[in-house]
Amino acid sequence: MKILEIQELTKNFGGLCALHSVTLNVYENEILGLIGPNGAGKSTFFNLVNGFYTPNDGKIIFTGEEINDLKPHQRCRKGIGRTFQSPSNFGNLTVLENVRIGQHCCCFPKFFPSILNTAGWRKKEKLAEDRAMAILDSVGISSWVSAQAGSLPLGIQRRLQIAIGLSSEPKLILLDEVTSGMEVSEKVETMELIRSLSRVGISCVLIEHDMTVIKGVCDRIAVLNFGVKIAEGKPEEVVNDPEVVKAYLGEEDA
Amino acid sequence: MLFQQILNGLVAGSIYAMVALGLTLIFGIMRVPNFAHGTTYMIGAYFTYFIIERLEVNLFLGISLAFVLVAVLGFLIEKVVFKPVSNRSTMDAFIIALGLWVVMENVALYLWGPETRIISGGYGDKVIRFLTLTITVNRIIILVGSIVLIFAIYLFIKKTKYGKAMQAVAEDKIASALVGISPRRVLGFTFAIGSGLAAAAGGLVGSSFSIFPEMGGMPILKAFCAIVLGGMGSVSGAIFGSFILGLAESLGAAYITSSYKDAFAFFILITVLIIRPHGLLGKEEEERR
Amino acid sequence: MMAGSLIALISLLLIFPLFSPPGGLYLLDLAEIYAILAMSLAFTVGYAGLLSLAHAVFFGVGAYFTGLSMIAGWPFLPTFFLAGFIASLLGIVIGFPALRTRGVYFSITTLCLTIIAEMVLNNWESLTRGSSGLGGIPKPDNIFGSTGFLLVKINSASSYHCLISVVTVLTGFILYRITHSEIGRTMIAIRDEKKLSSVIGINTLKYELINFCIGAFFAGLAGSLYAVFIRYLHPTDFGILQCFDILAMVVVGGANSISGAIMGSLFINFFPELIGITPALKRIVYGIVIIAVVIFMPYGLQGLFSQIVNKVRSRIGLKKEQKRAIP
Repeated sequence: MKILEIQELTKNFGGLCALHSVTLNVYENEILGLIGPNGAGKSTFFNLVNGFYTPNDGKIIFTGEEINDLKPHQRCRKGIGRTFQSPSNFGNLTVLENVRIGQHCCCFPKFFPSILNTAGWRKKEKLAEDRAMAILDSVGISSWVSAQAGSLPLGIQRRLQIAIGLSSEPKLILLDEVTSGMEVSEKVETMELIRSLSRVGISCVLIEHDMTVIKGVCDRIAVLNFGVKIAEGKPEEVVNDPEVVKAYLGEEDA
Repeated sequence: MLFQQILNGLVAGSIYAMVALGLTLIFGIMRVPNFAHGTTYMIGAYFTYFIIERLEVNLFLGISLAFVLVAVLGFLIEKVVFKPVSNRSTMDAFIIALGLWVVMENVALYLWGPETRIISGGYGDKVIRFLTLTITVNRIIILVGSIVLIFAIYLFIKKTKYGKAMQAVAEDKIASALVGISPRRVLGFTFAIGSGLAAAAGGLVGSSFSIFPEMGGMPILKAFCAIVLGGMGSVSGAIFGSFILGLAESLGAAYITSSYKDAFAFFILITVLIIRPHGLLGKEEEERR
Repeated sequence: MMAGSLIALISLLLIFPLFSPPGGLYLLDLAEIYAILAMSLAFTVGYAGLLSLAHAVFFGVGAYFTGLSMIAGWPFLPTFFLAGFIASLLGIVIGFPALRTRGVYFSITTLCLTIIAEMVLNNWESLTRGSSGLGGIPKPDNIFGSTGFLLVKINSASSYHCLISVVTVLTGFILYRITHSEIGRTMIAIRDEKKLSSVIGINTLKYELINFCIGAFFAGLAGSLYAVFIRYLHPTDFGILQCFDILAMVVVGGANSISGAIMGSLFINFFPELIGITPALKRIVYGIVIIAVVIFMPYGLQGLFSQIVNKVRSRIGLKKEQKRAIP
């Protein structure tokens, strides 16, 4: 079952062609890696799926529905989540508040009950808070609940990123270099976290530069170079594909 | 009659262009519209007035002196007022610009009083009859004077080393720094040139029309409208936009309604900002993350 | 912090009439009206991150609406609330297109609207009496109208003071509740990280519009009070000069802060009187103060106040209040 279908997606910026006729599918419960040299168009791809850029050509179909005309927040409501490299969270709010904000998709605050702090609202808040705590637990940062997000160490920040991405209860999450800057042990933990996501039914697309992470976690990999998809398939096949090796000029992350 | 309106439009356009040039260059570097710029126009008018009255020199010498004095003032303003917030958000600089605008306007009001003045010995009443048309000499002077100045500055920017540095920084601050152009120094210089130019415009206008403390308010807003039309940061855009605006105003006032004449510029501005935030000729700035 | 400021404010407002010099009460009431206006702007600036220069328009709409309807014989209370609602409707009309612009361009768009509005007020003589001003607005002798059951007479200085103070405190309280609710937190999230907010499902335009309308509502209320207090309206009171004055109050008080707006208003309105400068110099001082505050004291009076409170707290051994998103 395809959860995300990208058909002939093209994006130009003035004279520069960032993405050219890219066709890609993401299946339910799978973890798809998206790799390529810098400037290959990976971030552009994410921005297009999210709705920040409008494609010049091509269709984006999510759970069978064409979403080209939807704004970013509407796409989130449909079930697409995302992390950002930077800024990665709401620095002025606490960790818990960060996740609570993300629950907007499903726990939408009604104006007057929220201001008047009615009993009904307080009950909803409690439920939402419990859910938020559960998410923080699942990424392993519940001890940081009251810390200000702007002053977190990098590893915790990255996990908060993922927590925020999960708080809208997405069916598909776009993870943008979530292991960058992490130590090896943290990367291993994060890899296990990502695997657990697909086990609970959330599909993932991963942009990563660390090949160990990619090989360790992804079911399939797609490779972009200069805006064009040059390879797609199982990790072992793709990694040895001569086109891919050429694109990276022979360098491979250890 | 139509010709008269077109001429008026061109004259207004040339004044806006002189103010807009400085504004667009400063904007290109600072990324903030310096609303205090209109006061340099006003101060230029007053300085020209006082220089001519006290030193009894001719108009062109008066304007040139005012140009130099206000250029220095502009340079100082950048160093003292805008430099401290150069690393902060553009909103801070914007608020400071608003504050500066009010301060300068009210200082002028305090020092020189609210009554309007006009530079005596100007060509106020003289007219030329050309074919079947009557053209006032002062308008010709303003038009010619401003076109000469605009052309001179345009050449300066496009041809000289300093001018090219200004353009480079306006286009890409980081890249310019990488090749050794100091954005800070260029900014001070840009303020100087821009303010001087606006001062000259003020002097030209003051020679035939009235001088009063609030005179900078409308031109700066119209100039901003012009640079939005033409693309912010673009020199040719500023000139183009100014003349288009001047003509639109003049023809609109004549053929639609004159009591809301000033409102035309604002309606155009609001419409453009909403529909095409990067200006009619500006490049679409896609945010590359 | 906010709760403390409100309590301090209420005490001040209650005690002041007892020892104020003549004319002091008048000044305080005027300062309070401007404080409501400043709070409305601070709410928009601080919680939507939008530097709106249109609040003078909402102020003017509220003022003229109340002025004209009072002259036509309406009782005060209905026109008071209607003034707020009409202002907020205008807020939607203006906000919807204006919010498509960002940052500085939004400010400029609102500035242009203010200028256009001032022109309209001047030129629409049949409605607003144009530049000769709208005078003769009656006092709200009985705020509920002649059939009201709570015949509260507003005809003396102290009853004016009560009315205005009640509205000021209520405004502060309501804005406090809003900013400390989930809605307020959402607005802060949008203010700080717009892209991130939209990606997690927040309709940023909707919240910015709500914020803008709330700001417009209170600005309209302030205008309504102004109309029955000053009882004479002139278009220049609602144009760019007014915008600048409100901005000064908000900046001096601390741009992100509601309680700061109150401090800022008190400062801007009392300071010139205290040092005895002429009106001509007043605006020069405002401008210099704005520049100085932005350069040297970006968190304004509110920030200064917090710093002092924190110092006192650490001296007497209490934990310092962490720098919060909501001052």
